[in-house]
Formats: sequence, structure tokens, C-alpha cells
Amino acid sequence: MSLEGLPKPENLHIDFEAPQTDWMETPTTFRSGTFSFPAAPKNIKYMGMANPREWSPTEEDWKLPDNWRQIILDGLKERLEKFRSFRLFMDICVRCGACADKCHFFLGGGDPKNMPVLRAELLRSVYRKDYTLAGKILGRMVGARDLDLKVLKEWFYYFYQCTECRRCSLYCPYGIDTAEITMIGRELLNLVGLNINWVQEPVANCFRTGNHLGIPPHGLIDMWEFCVDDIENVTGIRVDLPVNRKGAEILMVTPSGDYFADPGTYTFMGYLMLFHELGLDYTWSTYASEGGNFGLFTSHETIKRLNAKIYAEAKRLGVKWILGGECGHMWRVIHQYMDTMNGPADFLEVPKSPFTGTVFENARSSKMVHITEFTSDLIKHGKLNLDPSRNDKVIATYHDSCNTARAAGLLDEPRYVIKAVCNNFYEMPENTIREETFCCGGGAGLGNDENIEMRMRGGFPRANAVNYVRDEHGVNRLLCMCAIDRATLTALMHYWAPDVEVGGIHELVANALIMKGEDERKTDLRGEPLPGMEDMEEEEDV
Amino acid sequence: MVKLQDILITKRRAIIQDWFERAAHQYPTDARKFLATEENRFANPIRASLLDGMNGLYDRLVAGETFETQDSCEFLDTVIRVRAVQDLTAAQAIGFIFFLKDAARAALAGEIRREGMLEELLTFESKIDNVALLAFNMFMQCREKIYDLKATELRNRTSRILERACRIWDAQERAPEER
Repeated sequence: MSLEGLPKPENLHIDFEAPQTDWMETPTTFRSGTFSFPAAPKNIKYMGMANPREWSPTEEDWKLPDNWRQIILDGLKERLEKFRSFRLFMDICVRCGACADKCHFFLGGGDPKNMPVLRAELLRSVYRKDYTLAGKILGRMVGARDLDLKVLKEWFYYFYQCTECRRCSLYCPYGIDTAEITMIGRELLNLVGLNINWVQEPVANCFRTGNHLGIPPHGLIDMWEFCVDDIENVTGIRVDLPVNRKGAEILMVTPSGDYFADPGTYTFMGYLMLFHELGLDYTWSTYASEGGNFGLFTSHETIKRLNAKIYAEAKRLGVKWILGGECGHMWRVIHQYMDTMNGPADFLEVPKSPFTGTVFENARSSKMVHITEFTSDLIKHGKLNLDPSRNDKVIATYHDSCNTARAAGLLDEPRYVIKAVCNNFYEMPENTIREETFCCGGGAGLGNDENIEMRMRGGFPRANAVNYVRDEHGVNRLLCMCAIDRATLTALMHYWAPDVEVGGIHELVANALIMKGEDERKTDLRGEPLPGMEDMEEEEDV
Repeated sequence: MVKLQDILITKRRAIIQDWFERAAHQYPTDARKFLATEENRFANPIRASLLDGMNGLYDRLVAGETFETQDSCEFLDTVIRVRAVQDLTAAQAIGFIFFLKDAARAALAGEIRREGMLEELLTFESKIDNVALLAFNMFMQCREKIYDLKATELRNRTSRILERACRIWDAQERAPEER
């Protein structure tokens, strides 16, 4: 027998190679697990948006209006005139490639159309064809192409495969914000009824009842009271639950993810305990019961329609200023859109902490303060009695949520709070945190279960960094301050790092908070025995 | 007499490099250059996971380890996990392991002929087959995990509401007896 006589491994009859075609020639395949389901007609109808119907991305006929092409091109023209930034972003990209290797979907999946430059090129190629002289004359030679059905389907696949995290924009020497290109891409798709249900349903629910799951006021209060009961079990204290109270000083708005599901609920309990202990003059609202705003993933008009309730409720209740919970994209809306879309909120006062006298200058115009700004200020002034050793079982790292970090610059406040309430804290590697943070892979409405493979791909760069600190320092808790993160990172950790739990910051604040008149704490908010209390738990069990 | 093991040690770098390049061909052209050049493991996690798996497998093969249980292939965990969620068929996802055979034969052909080490090569290659089978188990576990995640996600998203609803339901169920 000779070496030449052996069958060669490469003779295995399997096509091992990826398609080596140019991106424009590579067809889009809708593989199960990598795209989101279309919006249910009722949810499109409720918002009075275009083309409600049953359809499926895997079928040939997407049931589009006959003149869909004209609708999109007219929509593109309108937006080029309306948004100067968008026109600039279409023109100034020199395809230098600085953004190319920054998207988590590209880094986890290797699909070149997830390189931000190519994602933007999907739209730019159509723009070039109709709006530039070179594109009109030279076509493909200068990267221009006609808008046909193949292109539209590609748009749907890839614009709903961008979490609008803006990591790419951080590296662009021209400051092109690819998330804004995705936003316009999605707006255009919405004009012909191409939306996903995981965005459109929360939008419709929120517009109708004020929160993503469409829970009516009595249901909300019921759920909040449930948390009050749980707190009483842990602390022996029945905390206040002020709801829709006129004349309160502060209106508190948080994402509904904080009270619909664990581990968000523990963060919600954290707020209740903190406010009770402080004796804060505040109120919850059953109308402005959602900080999240999935309009951000739909269209500018929808952002405005959903956001309007916050100022309206602040005015109705006569509060002085607004406090906001641990949410991610909510802060992009508040920080960058609310004031100009629904303001000026001149009926409110510049936020000032009633306990420290600190004036939140950064919120002078929006009148809305982030909870970690509020709490870090309290800690800085020694206003909280804290016992961080109660969190000694937690070895924490912190995931900067994309929107709070990159869009709102909230980098140090959360870290300051965490370090004050938890003795064990380790940062992930430098190029994966703060402004350079990696997305959870499920933002911008992509955190649904049908899209799970794409989420696991997109979340891989984040999980890779978590695994590093887990192996180096024994990290067992991934902290974040975003309701979407708390849901999506939980699944991500189950896949990539099953021994790492996910949680919010104010959960740890509440664990550490020594409350006046509390019973001796035996467990944390999750019902797990505190360090040194394991035996007592067992005794009780007996 | 020169042993296959010695040559594998000497040519380690070149063989793994060739093996990596063959695996990188499974990704589209525009992605390949990046995969090959960016060395920071946090900026290029696919490359890092591939190389961890490849280095791990190569070194253990050379050390003469046998692969009988999945635990003995732990170094493949991350790379299989990644490939289980990428745009690859099951055969493609696992297939990169077999590329080591191509890379090894290409690098060692001369020596194998000269030194008559065909038998050693076949033993080496059989071990690779063994690892591929174990990797297929790992791949299947990842896929099962994905389906499991889909189901638990649905439940978790509304856990509080369900818990609350169940408590109310339980109370209603109990109520007649208590009355």
C-alpha cells in the first residue's frame, strides 16, 4: 500500500467551501433560526401602518403592494431631504473598512454583509443608482444597482440583523452612524409592510395600554404588589407602592421587562426598597408604564408617538422631574430624541436630588435622570447604609449596555455603584467594555426566540469576553443595566457560559442596603442564602 | 529511525497554519483576510476559537493521547459551539477537523514515503476520525441546547405573569374547599 493509493480526505463528497461570489451576487437565504417572524396584521393595523397581511419570508410571494418599488424610492427621496445626516452618510463613506470588523454579527458569524460598510452599502447602492451621476451612467462599475425584489429581500434580512448598537460608528473616521442607516432602512421597509412581530407587537401594545405586554392598569398594580410581597418576605418590611399619585415630586419610569420577568424583577424590587428607605416623594404610573420604546426600531414617527406619554403623564401628575430605570435603548430615546420630539418640558424643573442637593445639569433640558446617576450621587454623599458583604457570593463583571454606554455616556456611574455594593468586581478586557462594548446580540427587536441562532452568533464576542473573566477570576454574575440585556444575556449565558448568571445593578444595591427596622436578612432577593446563612436556611428547612 | 511524532513536532507551526487556512476557506472571501490577520482574541473570536481547538487537538494527538470520551475533547468546546450556530451544515461544521489530515499529508508526504511511516500515519488519522465523531456528539448537544433555549425563553419572558396567574388560579381552585 502506498500513500498515493489512499483515498484523500478532500475526496469526501461534501461542499466544504463558502460561496466565493461578490456580495452583490451572493443570494440571501432565509435559514430557520436566523431571521425574525413578520408582524401580525392586527399589530400593523392598530398603528395605522402600511400593508397588514399574513406573509412569510421563506415564501416567494411577500404580498407587497404593486407599486412597492415606487413607494420605497419616494420614501428614500423624502428622507434624503428631511435628514441631512442621512444624505451625508450616503455620500461620504470612502469604504476605508475601519468599521468592517467591528460588528458582533460579523465577528460571530463571518457573513460579510454584516460588515457595517456592506450593510450600509445595501441601501447606498440603490441611492447611488438614482441620486448620483456616476451611478446613473456607470451602474455596477461604481457600486450602483437597481432596487428589485432580490434587493428588497436582502434589505429585510440584513436590516433586521443589525441591533443598532453603534459599535461600528465609534470607529468611523467620518462619524457615519450605521445604526441611523439601519433605522432609515427599516422605516422604508415599513412603508410596504415589512416589519417583524417582536417589534410591532410591543409597539402596538405600548400604544394601546402603555407597556410592551399590553397589561392593563389593574394587572400592573397586581404585579407590582406581588414584588412588594416578595420584599416583605426577605426584609420584613412592607414597602410603599405609590401609583398614579398626583403632586409627587418625581415620576419613576422603567422598562416593563423589570417587572414582567426574572431577573429584571429583582432590579425592580431594588428600586422599591431604595425609594422606601429614602422616603422618596415619588410615584409610578400605569399610563407611562414603559420606559422601553420599540418605536426606535420602527420609525421616527413611532418613537415620537410612544414617547409622548412620558411628558404627558409628568404634566398630568404635576411632578417636578422624572427618574428612569435600568434600561438601554430607552436612554437613547430620552437622551437624543425626547427633548426635540416631545419637548420642551418647560413645565418641569431641573432635576435636583432631594437628599444631596445635587443638580443634574446633564438633564437640564430633558428633565429626566438615570437611576445610576441618582444612586451614585447618594452613595457619594454617604446617604445609604450599605453592607456589600451581603453580596460576597457574587463575583461580578459589568456589561456596558450599548445605548447607555455609547449613546448616553453612562460609563462610570454604574461602576461606582457596583463597587460600593459588591466586593468582587472584575472588568472584561479593555476592547470589549465601555464605549467599545459588544452588543448582547438581541437588541433592536431581535431578541426573539425564532432568531436564536443569530443571537448566539451575535452574542459570541460578548460571551467570549465573559468566559475570559470567568476563567481568570471565577466571575459568576454578569451585571447590566438594560431590560433587553437581562433577557437576552440570560439565554446567551445558558449557551456559552452556563455557570454565569445575569442581573441588574439595583438588585445588588437592595441586597446591600441596610434598611431601618428590617429583619435580619437571611437570603438575597433571589431567595438564595446570604454568605454565612446557609446553615440557618437548612435548619429552617428541617 | 525518525518517528512521525518527531516530524509532527518539528512541523507543528506550518501544519497548523495550513490547517487553519483550509478551515478559513469555509468562510466567504471578504471575511477570510480578517480571520487570518487579526490576532487579538477578543477582536477576532472566531479565529481564537478555531486556533484553540486546533492547537489543543494537535498537541494532544502528538502527545499520543487517545480520545475516548467527550471530556478528552474539551478544547473543542468553544469552536464547536460557534460552528453550531453559524451558516454551516453539520458536515461543514465538523469537517474542519478532517482538514488536519490534508494538512498533515501535504507537509509529511516526503518523509512518510522515505521513512515508511504509512502505518503510523493511519493510526494518527484514525485518532482524528475518533475526535470527529466525538465532535459530532458535541455539535448535536449544542443544537439540542438551542431548541431547549427557544422553549425556556418563551416561558422566562413572562415568568412573573405566569407565576402570578398560577397563584391566582390556585387560590381560586382552593377557595370552595376553604369556604
